[in-house]
Amino acid sequence: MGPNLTDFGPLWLSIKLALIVTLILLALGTPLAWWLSQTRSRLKPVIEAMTALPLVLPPTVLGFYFLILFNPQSFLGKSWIKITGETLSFSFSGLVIASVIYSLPFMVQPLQTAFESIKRETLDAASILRAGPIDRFMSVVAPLSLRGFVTACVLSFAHTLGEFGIVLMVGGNIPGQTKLVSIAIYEHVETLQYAQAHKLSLTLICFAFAALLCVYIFNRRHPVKIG
Amino acid sequence: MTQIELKIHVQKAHDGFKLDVNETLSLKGITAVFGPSGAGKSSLLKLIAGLDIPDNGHISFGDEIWYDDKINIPAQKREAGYLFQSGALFSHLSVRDNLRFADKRSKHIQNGVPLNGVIKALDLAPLLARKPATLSGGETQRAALGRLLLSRPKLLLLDEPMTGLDRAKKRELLPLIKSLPAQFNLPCLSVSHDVDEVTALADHILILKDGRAKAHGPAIEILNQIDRLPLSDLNIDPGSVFDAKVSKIVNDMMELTIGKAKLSLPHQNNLRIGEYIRLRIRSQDVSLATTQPKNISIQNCLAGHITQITTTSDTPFYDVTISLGDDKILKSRVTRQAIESLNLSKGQAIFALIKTASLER
Repeated sequence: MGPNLTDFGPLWLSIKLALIVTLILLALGTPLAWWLSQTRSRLKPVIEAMTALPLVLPPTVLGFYFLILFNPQSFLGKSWIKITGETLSFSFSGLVIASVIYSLPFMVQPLQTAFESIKRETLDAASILRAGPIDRFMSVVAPLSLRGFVTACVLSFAHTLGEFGIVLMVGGNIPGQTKLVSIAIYEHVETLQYAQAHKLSLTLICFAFAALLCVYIFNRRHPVKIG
Repeated sequence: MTQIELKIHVQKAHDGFKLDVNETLSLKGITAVFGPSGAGKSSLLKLIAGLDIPDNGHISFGDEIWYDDKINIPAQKREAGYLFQSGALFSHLSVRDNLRFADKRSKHIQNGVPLNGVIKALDLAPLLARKPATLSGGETQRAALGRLLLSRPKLLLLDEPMTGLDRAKKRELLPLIKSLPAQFNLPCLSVSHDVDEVTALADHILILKDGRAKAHGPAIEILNQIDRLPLSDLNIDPGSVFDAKVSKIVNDMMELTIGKAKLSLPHQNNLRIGEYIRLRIRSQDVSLATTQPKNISIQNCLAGHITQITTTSDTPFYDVTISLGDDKILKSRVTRQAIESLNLSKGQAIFALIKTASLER
């Protein structure tokens, strides 16, 4: 078996993790971003600051607390074992939870910006035309925020793909379970397998570049709409 | 046309401004909400539409309560259609899809307003494929009005529908708006700060100033006393308002009858014999003569008699009130010198001269 095939595992695992995390973030981040864009609550800056925390903290800080939280003796760790029969630490599920928190600002911030650029009048006009809240969101807000959604999803996906510190601390290095592509590269370098490290690194560079290029091409075709 | 009562009893404080209105409007045709900017006209309309919530009060439309201390029907469930100054078309949809957006969500309402009928009435066919960003101001308003009609409301709320349009576009849109109540059996509340617009449109007028209703009644009644209402910041010239009946059409001119007097004007708006046109004649455009003048370019010479001569102490002007018969009153503003040299007095027969060009708008 060539080295390429063994490296496919971590690559696929990373892509699978990034996809799942992006989908979960889309479901959680959309209502959160919408609330932040509309609320006049005094809690807004507090929630905004909390959402932005993963941007500034070293991944090791988050990783450390996740380890404590996921510990089989902790409340969350214990409950998780009861419900699923698996531990959270050093498991794929643990990686998903940690990554969702870690990538949250990359979903919420572009969405919030997109939602805030929609005029109050546009939403009011939709109400006048008998559209209820969910109808308004689906048929007016979502299409007008398409650019924000694309940016948010690509950034969340790419950011999850590129994690290293936090996944190393929370997940370790179990092949097929928690051995992600960034960890595989690290391992190759540590064991002086530079050729394999090159192959994986170049693949990631190309992938990341292609993803970002898609976003910018999309943005060019869909200039910001005022409405 | 059915007549329906709109009860508005609302209080709303906002940034040091207080709106406090308690009125019951019998909605028929077009009711103009008239007053200077900052009077709270748009705020009042937003409260009626449900786009804003009063601090307290009561709003009901016929038997439906829209707002009171327990009930607050959301905008999407009120039967009020609000036209935004900007049109507020959805920029991601073509004009056709904007119309369909409204049509689709009001299909259950059987009021006989068909999609094609609206497209025809507002001449929207050439605009259907276009995106809102490519429309001119007048086109945007027409498309937005069409979209609003297709949401099949029971009450139209127009927030300064002519704002930002040039004279030509206003002239085009005005008859269209005027025809809406009859054409779609839909009472209409229209906000304006332009006295000519109100004169042309309104059946009823509600005067709003500093957040309070100052007067409300039939348009002619209110317009005839508008210079005596506290609306000095609008600089309205005093004048007389008539609904003049078209009695004859000769070539490009039409003859109008006011009381026993006849007036001749260029034929406009495709008016037919027997139809009415609302005229506002400014007092300053009416000259007086004691005998019927000859060799004069002014063709409109109305015979009547003086019923009153009044003055306000701080001006050299006098307001002369002239009866044209059938309770039609025309006012003329002349100088004290003119009163003296013509020796004008109450009861005297008089000829009022009106320059035709001053009646053109």
